Parts: sequence; structure tokens; C-alpha cells
Amino acid sequence: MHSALIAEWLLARFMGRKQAASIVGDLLELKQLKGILWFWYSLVGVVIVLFWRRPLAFVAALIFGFMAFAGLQATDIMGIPPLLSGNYNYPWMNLCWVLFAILLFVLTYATIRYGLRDRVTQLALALSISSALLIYGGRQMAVLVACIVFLVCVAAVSILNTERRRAAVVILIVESVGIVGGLWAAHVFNLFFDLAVPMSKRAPAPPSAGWLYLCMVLMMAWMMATACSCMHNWLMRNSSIDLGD
Amino acid sequence: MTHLISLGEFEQVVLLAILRLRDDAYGVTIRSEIAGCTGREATPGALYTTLDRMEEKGLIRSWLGDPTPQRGGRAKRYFGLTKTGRAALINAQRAYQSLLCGLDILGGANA
Repeated sequence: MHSALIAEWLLARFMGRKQAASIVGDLLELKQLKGILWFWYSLVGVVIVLFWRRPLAFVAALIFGFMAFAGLQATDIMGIPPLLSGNYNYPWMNLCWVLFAILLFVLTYATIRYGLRDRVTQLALALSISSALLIYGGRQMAVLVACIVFLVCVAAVSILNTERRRAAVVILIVESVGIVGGLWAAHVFNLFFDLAVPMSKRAPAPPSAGWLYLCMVLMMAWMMATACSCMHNWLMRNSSIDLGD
Repeated sequence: MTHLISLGEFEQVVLLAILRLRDDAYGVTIRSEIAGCTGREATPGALYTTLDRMEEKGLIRSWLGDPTPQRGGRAKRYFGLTKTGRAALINAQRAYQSLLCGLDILGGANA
């Protein structure tokens, strides 16, 4: 009986208690025929099969989002070289980098967790492709016009179609959470830096600054992943929510 | 406009097993029904993933039964098809039927 309680506790870390209890109940019924080894083997199988997507999606989204952010800072955007765009002559570009990095985060996370047929994934993919084309080919008038027309079409479809409107709301909320989280992380980081390295001393940054930076990045990613997951569960799987349908 | 959800092969097997079991479709019985009819031992992980995914898609619905001593006081989670699930299954089976039509692979029944 102890093994059932442990198994139920373990499953309840990943799902609702009632659902966990019903699965353990099923396994207990079969345990009488197949034995204790089969019981634990199946339980581990259930945990892995049901939940491998969530941690993988988080890690992959974190890597891709962070790589996009770092890569874009070294790329000329719409013909403006990175040296110019990086030294605050074009402050709006920092916002563009952040928005695009968050978009790639959503795209990676949604692709792994919900698959390519999911509306959030499809919208994130359409927006990512058009944003990437704007960034890398925006200096050519034809590409610029094509991207703008495409974005207008995506916006129109997102407004007219109920499911796509919900997907757009999910992406908008994750973008907002990412920006607010980023501002909050920058604020905490600056506070720490002011305390640890006073301006008068001009000392190099302590190693703890690196750890704090890593913690802030992980915290931001966790906030965005949670926002994406919660909003997806709430909006995409609950057809009774009225979004002007 | 009605949008029919396309079904995978294992999804159809699970839906048919639920239909056959009527009001007694829960994890253990669905698994044994599949094994009995197809000879295929579905792993619990694969079965619960499919059931969860189909419930998210609105193809099936679930409800909890009463706790039983045989299961250590744990309730059974029963499954049933929704209208969407039934329509998707009929659509998938019709596709199979039209593909089978004119073929003699089932001993002439569809020839």
C-alpha cells in the first residue's frame, strides 16, 4: 500500500490529485496480475510519456530565445549596422530584439508542447518568419512590402477567426509578461550592481553578478513559459470564454 | 462551419474500444479491450497520453466513478465519446470503408 501512496504522490506533482489517484488505481488493479515491478515500470513510463514535453520545451525555448537575442544584437537590422543600433541611436531596436526573442521563445515552446497544428504555434511561426524577413531583408523594398502585406493579412485573419484571435491574445500576453519580466530583471540587476560595485570604486563585476544574471534569465523564461501554458490552457481549451465571438 | 478533427490510428482504436465498452470504459478495461480485439498490448503511458490528448481536443469526456476497495479506495475515471468524437470517428471509418471498397482483402466482404 505504501508503494501506491508514493506513486500517487509522485503523479500528483504533475497532474491533479483525482486524476493521479485514478491512474494509480488502474495500475493497482493490473498490479495484482502483473506484479510490483510492472507497476513501477508503468508508473515511470506514464510520468515520462506524459511530461517529457514540458521540461524539453522550456529548455529549448530558453536556448533559442536567448540565442536569438544574442544573435540579433550582432546583426544589422533593416540595413542599420549593429554598431549603430547597439549604441542607443536606435533605442526602439532594443524593443524589437526583445519582442523577436520572445516570439522565438513562444514558437519553440509551443511547437514542442502543443505541436505544429496548434493555432498559437502557427501564428508564432507566421510572425517569426515575417519578422526574420524584415530584419534580414528589410532594406529591399520588395521584401519590405511583402512582409507588411503578409503581416496585415495575419492581423486580419487573427481578428476575424475566433481560434486565431485567442492565439493572438496568448502571444500578446506572453510578450507583455516577457517585457515586464525583462524590465523587472534589469531593475533588480541594476540595484544589485549599485550595491555590489559602487560607481566611485569602478571595480570589475563580482562573480555573483553572473549568477544573478543567470537567475534573472531563468526567472524570465519561467514567467513566460508559465504565462504561455496558463493562457493556452485557459483560452485555447475553454470554448466558453467570450472574446467577442 | 464544422471542422472535423483528423484522427490517428491509435486514436481510432481507443475511440472504438470506448464505444464497445459503453458505460464501463476506464483505463484497465480500455486496455484489455484493445488487447482482446487487436492483440496489441498498449502501454499505460501511451494510453493515458492518447486519452488526455483526445479529451483536450474535445473528442472524449471523462468523469469519476465511486471509489472501490479493490483500487485502494481510488475512483475509476470513466471515458465517453462526445458528439465531436463520434463525428470524427465516423468520418475516419468512412474514409477506410471507401478505400476498402472494391478490394478483396477481407475475404470478399467488401468486393
